[in-house]
Amino acid sequence: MNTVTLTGLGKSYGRTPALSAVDLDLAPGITGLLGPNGAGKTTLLRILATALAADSGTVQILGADPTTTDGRVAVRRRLGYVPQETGFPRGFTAFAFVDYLAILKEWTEVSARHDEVRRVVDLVGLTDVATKRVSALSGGQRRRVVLAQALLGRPDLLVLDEPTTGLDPAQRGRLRDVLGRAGETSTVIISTHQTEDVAALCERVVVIDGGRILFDGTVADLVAQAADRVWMASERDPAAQHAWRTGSGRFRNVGDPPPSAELIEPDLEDAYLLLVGDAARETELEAAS
Amino acid sequence: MSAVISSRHDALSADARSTVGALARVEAKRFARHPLFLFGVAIMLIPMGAVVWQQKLDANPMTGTLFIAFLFGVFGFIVAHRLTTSLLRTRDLAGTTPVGRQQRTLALCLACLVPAAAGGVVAIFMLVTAAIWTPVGDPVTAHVAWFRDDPAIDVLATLIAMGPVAALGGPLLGVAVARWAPFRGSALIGVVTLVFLTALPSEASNPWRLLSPWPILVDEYVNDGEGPIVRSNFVPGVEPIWVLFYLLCLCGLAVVAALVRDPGHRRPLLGAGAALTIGTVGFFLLALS
Repeated sequence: MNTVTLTGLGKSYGRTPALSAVDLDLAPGITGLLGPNGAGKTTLLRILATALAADSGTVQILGADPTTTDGRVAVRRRLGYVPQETGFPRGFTAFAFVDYLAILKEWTEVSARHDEVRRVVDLVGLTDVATKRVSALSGGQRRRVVLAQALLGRPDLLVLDEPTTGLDPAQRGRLRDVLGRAGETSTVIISTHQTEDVAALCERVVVIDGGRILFDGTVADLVAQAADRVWMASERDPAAQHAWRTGSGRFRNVGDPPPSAELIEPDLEDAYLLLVGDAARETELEAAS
Repeated sequence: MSAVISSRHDALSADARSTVGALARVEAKRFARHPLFLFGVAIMLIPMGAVVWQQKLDANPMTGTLFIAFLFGVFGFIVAHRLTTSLLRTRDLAGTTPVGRQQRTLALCLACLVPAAAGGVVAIFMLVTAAIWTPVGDPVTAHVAWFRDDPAIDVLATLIAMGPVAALGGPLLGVAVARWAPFRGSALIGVVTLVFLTALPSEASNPWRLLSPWPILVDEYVNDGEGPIVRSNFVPGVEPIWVLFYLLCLCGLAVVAALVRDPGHRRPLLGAGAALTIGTVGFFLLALS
């Protein structure tokens, strides 16, 4: 059953289109959203989080229409959101900040609220620093504070805009565990530049560029598109779209391989680079013709 | 699905009033712990301690209320402004919660009862100490600027208007200014304007002085012509009780101005604003009658 249905979604900032005729359905589970900077990921997530209204198209989130006041409130009661960037009010401890957001999520009964705040603070591994002021926390810890508030009340829809930014590998591992559990019952959409997070967590991946969806399918399907297009060589291949020197001293080339190339198994990052690169080339060709 | 959702939200209360109450408690704590407010309290304790230590009261009501108006009213303006603007940093997060911005602003307005309560405590202290230790006056001029046989209602109205209400009005104005002009320098501009408007009609007996945010209702050191003892005198032709209501209407207008900034419930707010405007003009005219 779909929890989110977007049809013909459009959004522009002045004359700059951010999203063009986006159709997207989401169901419980974890969906990764990949795309280059300026692709429209954050705009899409802000619309899903009811922080932004679309210019055109229809939006149904958790059975409600967020263009109406009642619909927005209904969505927000079941939403957890991690924005790309956020500030913190002065003077709040980590616990107090999450507690404040819990009140904004209508947890008015004090003991139940505090229990819930302790639960989510513990989930993201911040119990030890819960009484520290947010201003004294590291970037990664602050990011986890924001993540903690998103988990309040086990929301039915989790919208996460680059949640792993600033997290160390151990923290990212913990986050994957938390999100993996959330995805068992809730609809989770994660925008990230970390393809390994998507590969590790998501059953579905959506690639967006120039405000349009380039790919919507399983991670395996996207990776399969890169089959026979990744090879190792002792030199950087001029035919490759992307090439870089690996730790072994050899070059990993991504693109259209020459005959007798030493093909290797592609990963999600290879597939993503090829998809976006091919799309850019097609756009250039269309513009030239 | 709906059963799952309802069980998740059992602990939630959609009661907007209790949400505002919970938010107001958080904001009140933030106000009470703000360094500038605490500094004002510390300064205020010095003359209060001196009165208790010396066991005599030779001050006049003007001095006490001036302390309240400045330390809680003007300082409170800055504190309320800072609290309001610092919350705006989380607008991306808070804007996607079911509690609207108007409710958050209302909670900030309710937190302004903290400085008002502090001003009330000082006003009560003034009344109690004046009752215990009859003011002895200045040894050289024999001036005693304290109420003697004036009607209790006038004395109370004057103390409340120049004390706690000043301590309430300043912070409320701070919230309103921060909602409409949330940039860094607006607090300074607001404070300078506030002090300038208060000091502009320098003659205490000038009835137009009542228009200022801190109208002086007592004209100290007025010789009543029957001996060396003088007492605090009310400004001729001014009814303190109506001035009190006039100031309370101004406070209400500040709340409306702060709330009307945000979408939602604008029509009843504008209605309340119109009623308060009529009340402000009416009570001002009554005060002069």
